[in-house]
Amino acid sequence: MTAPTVADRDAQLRRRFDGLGCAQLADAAGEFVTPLRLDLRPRNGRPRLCGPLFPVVTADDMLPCLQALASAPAGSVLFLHNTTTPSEALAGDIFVTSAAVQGLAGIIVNGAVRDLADLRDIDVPVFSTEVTFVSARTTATRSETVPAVVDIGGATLRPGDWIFADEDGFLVVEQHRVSAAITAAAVLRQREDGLKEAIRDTGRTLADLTDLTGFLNGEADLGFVP
Amino acid sequence: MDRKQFYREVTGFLTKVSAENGTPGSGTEALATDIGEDSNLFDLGLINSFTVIRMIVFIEDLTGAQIDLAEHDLETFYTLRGLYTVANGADQ
Repeated sequence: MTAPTVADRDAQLRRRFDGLGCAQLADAAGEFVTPLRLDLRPRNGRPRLCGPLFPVVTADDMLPCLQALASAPAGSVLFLHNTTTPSEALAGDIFVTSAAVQGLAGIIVNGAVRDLADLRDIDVPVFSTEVTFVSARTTATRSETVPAVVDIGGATLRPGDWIFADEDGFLVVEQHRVSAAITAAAVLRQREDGLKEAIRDTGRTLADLTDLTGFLNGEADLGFVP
Repeated sequence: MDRKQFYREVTGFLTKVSAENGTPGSGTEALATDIGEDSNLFDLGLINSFTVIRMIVFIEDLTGAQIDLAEHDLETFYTLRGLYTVANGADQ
């Protein structure tokens, strides 16, 4: 049997995350999870993504963005960090179409995107902090660092580390702990599902499971751990 | 690493985690030294959903390799025997 490739492994991790969320990752692997606190919004109706990061820094200049798009491996998440605010649009329908053809797992822009109506039909999750119809037209300054390390939103985004997003938010996991974090989250999810099933089947409430009454009477500890 | 040594390492780890977490029953320290290889570590209170990450990382550090998710059902992580299977997979 041949050993799994990096692409095989990444695909396995993605499949595992399909049944999970950032909440399970944060609960089960809190010490290996860093929240990314940016006001990012899904721009084409696809609020979930995960994959290894491929960050680049620009200042309203398309050239670093094009360099990064050209270099980002299939399955990666392109992170465009614009140091200029307000931002001109760094990604639109053509840029994202190329990302889709290249098999990228998503695009996150700390800055603006545009062409939202067209992005809806493209099966690559796109997030941004801003939207504008004004396109970045400058292609003046090439980046010497593609991909780059970016410190932002309380997190350090290193190439290869994994980013996860869903309706609850964004978080980052160092690449050498991704497998452990997802496995632990999957175990947590499985046991949570068992508890929910028990509540439904037996009619026992959360107050019963936590012995809330006993706790309030000073007779018991509060809580249960799945 | 042979099975006996692996069980010894993991049992030692579980004993440490149990002691740190003040696992209910307080008999868990003694219990951890005598775990059946098919005993459910969750049912014994030796590990829970919030500490399982530490056990996985412990095994990854022990073997020097990330575990291969595709190879294992989640229940594999519930017993010493299952964890040994995981470790062997990670070892290869």
